[in-house]
Amino acid sequence: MSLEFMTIAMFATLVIAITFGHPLAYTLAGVATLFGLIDNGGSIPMLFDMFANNAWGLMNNYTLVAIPLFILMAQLLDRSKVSDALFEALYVVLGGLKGGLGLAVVVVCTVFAATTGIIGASVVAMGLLATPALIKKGYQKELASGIICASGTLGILIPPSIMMVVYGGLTGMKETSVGNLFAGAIFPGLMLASLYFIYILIRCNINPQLGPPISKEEASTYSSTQKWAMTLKSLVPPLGLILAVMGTILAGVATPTEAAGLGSGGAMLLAFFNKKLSWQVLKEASYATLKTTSMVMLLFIGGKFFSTVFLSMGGGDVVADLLIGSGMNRWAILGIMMAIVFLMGMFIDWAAILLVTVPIFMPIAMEIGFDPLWFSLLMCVNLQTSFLTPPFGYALFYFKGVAPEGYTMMHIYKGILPFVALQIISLALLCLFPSIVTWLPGVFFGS
Amino acid sequence: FAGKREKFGEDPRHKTAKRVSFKPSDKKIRWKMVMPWSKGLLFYDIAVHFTDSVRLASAGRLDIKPFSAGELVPAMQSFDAVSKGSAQVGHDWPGYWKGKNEAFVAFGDVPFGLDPEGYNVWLYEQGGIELLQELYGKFNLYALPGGQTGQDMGLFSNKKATKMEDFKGLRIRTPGWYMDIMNSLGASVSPLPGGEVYLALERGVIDAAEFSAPAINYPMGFDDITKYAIQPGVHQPGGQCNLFFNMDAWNKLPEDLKYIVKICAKETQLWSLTWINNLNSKAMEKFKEKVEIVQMEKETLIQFRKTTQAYLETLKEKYPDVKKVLESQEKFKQEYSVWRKAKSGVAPWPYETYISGEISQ
Amino acid sequence: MLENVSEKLTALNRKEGEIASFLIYPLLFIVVYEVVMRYVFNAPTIWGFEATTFLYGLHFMFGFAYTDVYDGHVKVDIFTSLLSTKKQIFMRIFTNIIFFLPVMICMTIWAFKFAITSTMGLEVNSTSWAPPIWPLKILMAVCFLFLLLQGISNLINDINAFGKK
Ligand code: NA
Ligand code: NA
Repeated sequence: MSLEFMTIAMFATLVIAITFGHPLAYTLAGVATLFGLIDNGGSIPMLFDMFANNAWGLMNNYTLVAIPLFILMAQLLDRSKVSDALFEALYVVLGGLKGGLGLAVVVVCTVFAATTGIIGASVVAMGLLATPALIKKGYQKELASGIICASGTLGILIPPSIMMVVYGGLTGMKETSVGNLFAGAIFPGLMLASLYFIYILIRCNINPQLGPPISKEEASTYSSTQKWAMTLKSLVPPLGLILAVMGTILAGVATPTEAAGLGSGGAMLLAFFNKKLSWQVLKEASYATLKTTSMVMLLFIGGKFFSTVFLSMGGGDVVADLLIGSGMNRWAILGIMMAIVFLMGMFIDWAAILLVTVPIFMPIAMEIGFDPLWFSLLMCVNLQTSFLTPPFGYALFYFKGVAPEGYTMMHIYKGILPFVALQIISLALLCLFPSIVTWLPGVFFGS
Repeated sequence: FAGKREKFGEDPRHKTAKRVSFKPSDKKIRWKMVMPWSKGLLFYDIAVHFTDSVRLASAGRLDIKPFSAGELVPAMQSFDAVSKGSAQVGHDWPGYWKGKNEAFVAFGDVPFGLDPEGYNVWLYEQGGIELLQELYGKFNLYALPGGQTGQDMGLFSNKKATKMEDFKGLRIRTPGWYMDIMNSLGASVSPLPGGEVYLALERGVIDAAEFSAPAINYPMGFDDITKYAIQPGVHQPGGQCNLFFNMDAWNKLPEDLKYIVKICAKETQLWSLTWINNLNSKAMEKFKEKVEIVQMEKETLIQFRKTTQAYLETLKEKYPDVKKVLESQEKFKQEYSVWRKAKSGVAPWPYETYISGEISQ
Repeated sequence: MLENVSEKLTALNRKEGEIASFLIYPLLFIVVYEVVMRYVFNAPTIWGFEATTFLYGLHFMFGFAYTDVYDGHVKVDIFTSLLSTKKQIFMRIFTNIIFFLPVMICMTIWAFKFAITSTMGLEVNSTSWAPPIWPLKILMAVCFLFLLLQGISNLINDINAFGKK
């Protein structure tokens, strides 16, 4: 059997196998085993010694220590209810505008995205916190779902983010170190948040029925001084956490992994000051952290087995020859790689996509002369859509789980489409203005 | 009246070489090679040079496909992978296998230990290679020297340190034996994981760090983010790499290919030394533009050497294998010192340097 | 009888996961301790990074089976969810037998072989601190065994449910 055939067969088998509904990690490992046996002449020992080596290597990957720590931080933060105060303040500050409550959601999510490394918690929290208010003011269901799902997902793009921790741990290159990725993601993340903001503002000004402002009386319960005081006060805890995480990295106090620990410690302190820290909370946070961590890490193992066998067969060379050898323009090659990631994002979870595609695409991107950091951030922005694109989008499911009666999956699917379009626009902007990514890491790390 | 003298020395291989009857194999063999190197490191090129040499010399009969770190197995699992046969060949810097047997470090580098000339003579002529193969053999591996990167760059540092007291409290990142030595000299040594070093150095989490020979170090960009390079790199006067083969795979290899592998390994040892050292001098020129290159004082060096020796003595006491290897190296150093002294560092210095008396050996 | 076994295995994995989940707190403590020692006292430890990494490794390894108890490993069930309950159970049994069992049986065996090699050599880490790592390798194998047992427990459950339909 030719190498080209094997390469295509391996991917095709994976695609078919995924539809069986078995956990992705086991499916990846299963497909890897089948093709690994073919590659190793049927030798089970050769293959599983290699797998055991890879599993052990993962247990020793210091960069990835940030994953459980960021997850714990999000769990503690969620239970300390710090986002409530900020939303309440912005409710009266921005509520008077057309689409103002939606804008408040975007701002709260952006601020909290800078304190938490995962999504899920933020979609659920905002779903519970903001949806009743949005319903009460008569927001269109599609728009309301879109706003909450899309903004809640900013947490994975605006640093800190476990997606970048996984990325950095996977490539192990200086250019794409976790610190560089964090710095590089700040502007793309803020740009995306701004696009959401502008979109909601324009759309609700054209058609105020979609997102009506709160009543004059409600908006004027507080004087503007009071409003600002409320806002500033509610910004203190999240800013403290941003300082604990990003601040300590940039000031040279801690490595990115350690910063995750400091953030977790900070979240614990916040929960303590909000009188939410109890044995019960610590126990629940601990159980929830383990579930999410192990889910990601088992995917890491399955993905690692898959990419290892794929590369061992020579599949990486096949894909590279196919793309680079085609003589296509390098932007066309980039477009194909991005389209593959986007399409995979409709069906598969971000971590699985990252783990399968990065070892293959990263060398290709570098060979055709793209900046590794810039390319990595393009991948990350693209991967953020995987949370949102139907049919399989985590954020959509999280939101459905907490959305009130009357919100169907169809409302959510329709509502999210404009926001996915905004993400594609931001990918185009990153291609036109690469310095959005590269400028800040250059300033901080001189690279 | 002196007696008639024999020729002084002989090539032991010649006896078998002239009697070998060649039945060249026509079997095509494909092997996989793993290593702790990512593609950006010159070590990777050394490993690949060996695979190219073998393919060229064997007319493609032995085709070794190199896999960089993490492609087949994580960097530090290369040893286990070859030992168990998931891959047939590995390339390494043996200090990474310290946890399997402390003596591996002595084959990679020893602070104030052998330089490239020393490693070459000791390995090939003084029984070093037999000790090497004995050690790897315990792990179902056959080993050959396969890469010499020369002396390491010293510490890149944001604090100038040339005297003993400067090193007290200096926050350094360095692994292995040198870490213990620096600790006992009063530095604050942190074994920061490799991927974290650049950011830690640049943000001031640590003051100083070292990594490998100048040319290998250059792409790391340490010179962009530090003020000084503290010379010399006493922790590694000669970085020695090895090739190691799964014993079963090696035993099954046809005789003619075994010769090809052995010769190519030696060719790689020579090529890497010349290639890297030529690049080293160019890298030093570039470093000079960015950092101030400072020399440790003679008194400091002597103190370092004393501390190192005391540390090595404790290791020898603790690990019999370390004792065996280090004593063999020390015996060589002792014997060779007569010749080293006699040579007096004549040749390599430019004329002006020599006549100004700035010669250091 | 088999149902009983399945329940016992699930209970075991729930318990080991709950206990292991608390590793996150010592992990957090060491990370913060290391930063404070290095930054405030200029006295970094030689063991901080390694101890951190070991705790992290054990934490997630012990969580594999635990997460499976709660059906927490992400899957793409948008297609299978369209099938009848009986067909869904059949698919679960089928995928368990072709994907999960062969891989995890081999994984458990070779993880133990990996651990035995290390244990015979009383392997320590290749660092200055040089702690023994063979116990960790044994625990890695034990964690794969837990996961295998959970898969067997799931299989028993599904076969029972299939029979009752
Ligand atoms: Na974030
Ligand atoms: Na999706």
